[in-house]
Amino acid sequence: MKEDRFEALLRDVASEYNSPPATPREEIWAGIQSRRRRGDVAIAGDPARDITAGDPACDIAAGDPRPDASAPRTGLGRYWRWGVGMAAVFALGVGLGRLAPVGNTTREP
Amino acid sequence: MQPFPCSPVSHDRTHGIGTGTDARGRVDERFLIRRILQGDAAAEREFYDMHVDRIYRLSYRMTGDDELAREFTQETFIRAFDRLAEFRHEAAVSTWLHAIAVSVTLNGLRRHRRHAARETELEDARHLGAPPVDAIEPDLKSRLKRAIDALPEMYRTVFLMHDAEGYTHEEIGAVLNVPVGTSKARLARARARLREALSDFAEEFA
Repeated sequence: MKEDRFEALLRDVASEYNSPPATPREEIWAGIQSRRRRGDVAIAGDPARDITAGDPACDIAAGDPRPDASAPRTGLGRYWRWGVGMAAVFALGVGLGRLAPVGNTTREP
Repeated sequence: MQPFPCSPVSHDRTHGIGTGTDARGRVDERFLIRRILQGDAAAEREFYDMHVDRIYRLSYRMTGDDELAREFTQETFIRAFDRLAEFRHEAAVSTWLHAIAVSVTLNGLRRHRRHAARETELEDARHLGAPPVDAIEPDLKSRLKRAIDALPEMYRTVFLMHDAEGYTHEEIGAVLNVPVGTSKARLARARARLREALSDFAEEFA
């Protein structure tokens, strides 16, 4: 009995909860057209626009229920970043070497 | 927070959501999508008209706000049209579209809540000493509605999709990319939490 009453209450509340009004079809359609004309489209990789941002494990295959995943990264981009990183470390090392005091730094016994 | 699932699903997704899509429907669906990809504006509108009601309703249930629901519905269709060429027909297009809608809405809500929380902190500072909300809203339904608001995202989404909008567990599983059993378990946990929230009314329900 209690179970029935709870279920009935739940159904009642669920149907009333955030009960949607009639869909404003024309207004939404106009908004879509306007935003698309402005070029306001989803931009993969942009955290502000890409709903998959921060979710690197996402499968990027089209046709998934996550169709909005960004395009696959090419290996080239990754190598490029590694190259830039190593060059920066090398330049930093050379710079520090040049700034270091010149001369015999070994200590007298 | 549990991330939105993104691996390929293994359960049945041959039926569309809310559009009565069967094998014949899937053929029509492919034809419609092909027309959209060829730049047919009327086909875009046809696609929109087929799906907008359910997308808007779901977004409204989740946000409780007309402006946000409109914004997220727009965003859903903009993303869908933008990436329709990538759709491979592994799922019904309505399932694909609903997955975008749920993801757009949940992410949009998170951003909105973060923003609202900052404003509420300032507002609260001005209203210190106000009576707790429970004291103002002893009504059972009000308590239950607030308990739904407070449900963890993954339980609330399943609860609203199933109990408020009438999606089946198969449909929910396909959209959220979880097994049917997980959808059922989340609904059971949501209901259990709502029952707990009514502990003050133990005589009647606990």
